[in-house]
Amino acid sequence: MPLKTEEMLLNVGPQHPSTHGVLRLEVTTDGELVTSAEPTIGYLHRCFEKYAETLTYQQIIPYTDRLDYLSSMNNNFGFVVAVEKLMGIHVCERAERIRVIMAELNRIASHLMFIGSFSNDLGAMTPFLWCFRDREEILKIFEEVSGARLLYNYYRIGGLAADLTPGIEEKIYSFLNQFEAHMLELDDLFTRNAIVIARLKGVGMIPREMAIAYGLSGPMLRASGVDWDCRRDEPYSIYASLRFEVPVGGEKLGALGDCYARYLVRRAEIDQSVSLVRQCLADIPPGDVKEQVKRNVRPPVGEVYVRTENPRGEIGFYLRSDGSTKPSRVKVRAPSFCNMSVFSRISKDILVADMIAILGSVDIVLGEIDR
Amino acid sequence: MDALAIATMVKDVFGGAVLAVDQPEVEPVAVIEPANVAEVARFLRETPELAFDYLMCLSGFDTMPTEEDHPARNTPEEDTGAPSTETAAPALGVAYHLFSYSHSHRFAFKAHTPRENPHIPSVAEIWPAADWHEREAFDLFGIIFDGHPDLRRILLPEDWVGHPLRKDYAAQESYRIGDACAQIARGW
Repeated sequence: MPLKTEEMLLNVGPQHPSTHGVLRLEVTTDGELVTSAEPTIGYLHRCFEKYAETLTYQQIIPYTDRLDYLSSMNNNFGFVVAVEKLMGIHVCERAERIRVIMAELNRIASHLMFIGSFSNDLGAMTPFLWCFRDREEILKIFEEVSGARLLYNYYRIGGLAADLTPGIEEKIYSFLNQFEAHMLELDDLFTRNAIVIARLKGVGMIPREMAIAYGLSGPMLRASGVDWDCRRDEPYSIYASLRFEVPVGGEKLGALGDCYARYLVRRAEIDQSVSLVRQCLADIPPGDVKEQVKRNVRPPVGEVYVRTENPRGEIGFYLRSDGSTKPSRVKVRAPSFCNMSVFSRISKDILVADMIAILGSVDIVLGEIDR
Repeated sequence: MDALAIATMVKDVFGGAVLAVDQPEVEPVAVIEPANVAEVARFLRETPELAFDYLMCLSGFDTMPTEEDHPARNTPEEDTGAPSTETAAPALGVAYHLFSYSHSHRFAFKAHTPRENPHIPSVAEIWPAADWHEREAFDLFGIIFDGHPDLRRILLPEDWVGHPLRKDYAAQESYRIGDACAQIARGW
């Protein structure tokens, strides 16, 4: 007698550990196979863009913390760079160096969070604990500099909220030394682990053309073989004067744009960020980081679109100024929003467990998807 | 290719469909007739020397002034940008920011559409990235993208009333209160 089968509708989330926040996936399954997976977003929508229209430019900065709450420094950075471009402000070298140090440390912390939660999704608990041990050290540095552990509100239009505290350079150096050794251990445990490779190789492949067409950015795009990084190719701040490599999926890092390539690209970016922090620390000129900071700024009438490189990809700010102290429109092009839009396209006819691996490799933060 | 040169090239092909080029010194933005958006987009995507394969951002906006804030405007001398060609009557609009990976150049254009019955052709077929962006602009501004494969709300609940990012949006006093009352009346 033939066995009668029918498709089952499975709800993953909005409250589920593997969805990394309040994301709901409407999954149709045929046994162990996923036939379609449709994401539903918006559970964390809090109308940031509407609210920004009622605030002055400096007042918006703490709200940008809450977009991608795992890389608040980078969000601050993108927003102040956009307003500074609109106004034509130049910031002193000292402030720019400290900005890059904090942004790159935050990139490391964010990628550590990715490795931790990604390995957790795959069923490995140890890397999660190891990554959080190192992330904690970065949070301590941020706490000392900005006063907060997660939402820093540290950048200002024209400079920074506060200068470095005395002796913080030594603390950053000693963290970096210890951290590099820890990363080598992590490579032994996870990066070159045969089980991990077997689990991730060839899963969730995104070809180069698809990656570009869906507007992917950051590690997602580079894993698919597109050699592009805003910091190098459309440089802002002082990135043009720093030396670093852009890891791209290809010969060395898993050729396919699969989950493993996305992991490797992020892992390699951590090393580059360490090098960037060292370069900036080596030579911080004296200066007043608050020199240019004004409480109220009033950009001229106009509009700009500025993109900067966040850990998750390009964060873009489309600002329209009507000449008053408050913006007429702030649109955030959130990297996770675009990266997530490809998800239902690549989650067809795959195993349920692989769907979780793919979702983990996209590395979403719902705070910026829903805004 | 320089953004102004691209704007000239588009103008040569589409003539009157390019209404103006805003702020040519700062960051040029071509203003396009709304009915021609899809054709211009296809031209930008498919012409080999332009090859705009990447839609960086698609943003809705509303040109209606924010009411309470306007005495605080700049004096004209302080403005560095060229005079804006924003339409006189408040309108909704969509701005497109494009990038080409093969040529490493970028271009921006926008189109205005009336507040009543706003329609703009969809570009989701040309750039799949536009799918979610257009849903968002529909959700928050109520702009209808003709030809979009699946135009429904994306961030707000399906039964939300109104489009919050419009400047004249009045916040709702309550959400689903009518339903709740009806349920109470029925004794849950």
